[in-house]
Amino acid sequence: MPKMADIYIYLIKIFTNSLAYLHKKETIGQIKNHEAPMAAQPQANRKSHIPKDSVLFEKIVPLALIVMGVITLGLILFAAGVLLGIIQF
Amino acid sequence: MSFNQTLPFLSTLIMLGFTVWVFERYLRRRNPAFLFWGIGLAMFGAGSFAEAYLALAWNKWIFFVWYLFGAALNAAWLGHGTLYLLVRKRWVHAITTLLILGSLFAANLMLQAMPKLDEAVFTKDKPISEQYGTKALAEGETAPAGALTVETTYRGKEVTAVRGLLPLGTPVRLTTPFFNIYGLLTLVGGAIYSAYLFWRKRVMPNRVVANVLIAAGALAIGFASTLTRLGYGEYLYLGELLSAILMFIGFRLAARPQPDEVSVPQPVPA
Repeated sequence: MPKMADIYIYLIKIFTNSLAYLHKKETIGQIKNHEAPMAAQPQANRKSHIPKDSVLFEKIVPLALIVMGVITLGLILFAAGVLLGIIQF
Repeated sequence: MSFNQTLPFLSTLIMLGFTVWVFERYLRRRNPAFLFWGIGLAMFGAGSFAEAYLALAWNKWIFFVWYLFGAALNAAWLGHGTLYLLVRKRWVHAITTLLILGSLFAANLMLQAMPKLDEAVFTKDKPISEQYGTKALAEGETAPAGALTVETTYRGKEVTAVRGLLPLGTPVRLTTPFFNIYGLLTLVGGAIYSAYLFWRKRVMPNRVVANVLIAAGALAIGFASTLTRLGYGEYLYLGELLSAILMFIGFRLAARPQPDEVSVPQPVPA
C-alpha cells in the first residue's frame, strides 16, 4: 500500500511536469495572450435601451397607451351593457 | 362586388401567412402562447375567408364559420395566448378549460341556430356583417329603404324587425360579448400592460412599439365589431384588414432581435 505522502508527491510531480511542458510549448503564454482580446470583444447587450429625448417614446407612446386604455375600457363597458341588457340590440 | 367586399381577400392572405409564421414558431419553441395565438389567428383567417366567400356565393356552413370563428371566438383565443405570457400557469390552465368548454357551448348554440337561419334575406351585394342579425326597430323608427321586415314577438312585446340571417334573440348572439370582453381585456390589456412595463423600465424599444401596434390592431377590430353591432357593418372589413396588418407588424417586430443586442461593445471590467 502506498502512503498518502507518496501519492501527494506523485501528484505534485505530475503538476510541475505539466507546467514545465506547457511553458516549454508556450501554451500558457498563448492562453494569456488570448485573454486580453477576448475580454475586449464586444459582449451582447441583452437589453437595448429606449433612446432619451425621443418624441416617439416620450410623447406618442404614453399618449397612445392612455388613449387605447380608455377605448378598451369603453368597449368593455359597451359589451357588458349589451350583455346585461342595458344597451338594447 | 364592391371595393369593401374585396378587403377580406387581402385580410385572408395576410392572416394565412401570419398563422403559418406563428405555428412555425410554436413548433420551434413549444411555447403554448404561440399555440393559442396560432389558433386565434387561424380563426381570424377563417372568418376573413368566410367573408370573402360570402361576397361571391351563399353557403350556410361558411356562414357558420364566419359567425362562430370570425365574430365570436377568435379574439378570446388570441387574448388567451397573451395570458400565457403574463399569468401563472396554474391559473391559465383553469381558464383554458373554461375557454374550451365555452367555445364548445357556443358551437353547440350555433349548430342549434342553423336550421332557423333566414336564408331568404341573403344577398351578395351587401357585406355579411350588414345582414347577419335581425334588428328590432324602436317605436317610431323606420326601416331602411329596401329592407325586409317582419312582425314578431320579442321579450314579450310585438315589434317590427329588420330581417337578418340570425333570428331575433338567437342565444348564440349572447355568447359573443363574453368572448369579446375576455379577448379585449387579455389581448389589448395584455399588450398595453407589456408596453407599459418595457417603457417604464426604459428597455426593449422594439417590444414597446410592437405591443402598441398589437393593441392598436386588436382595438381596430374591436371598434369595427362594435360599430357593426350599432348597425354600421360597412366598417368591419376595413377594421379587420387594419387589424391584420398592425398585429402582423407588431408580432414580427416583437420577435425581431435588436441590432445592438449583437454588437454593442460593453465596458471591460478592470
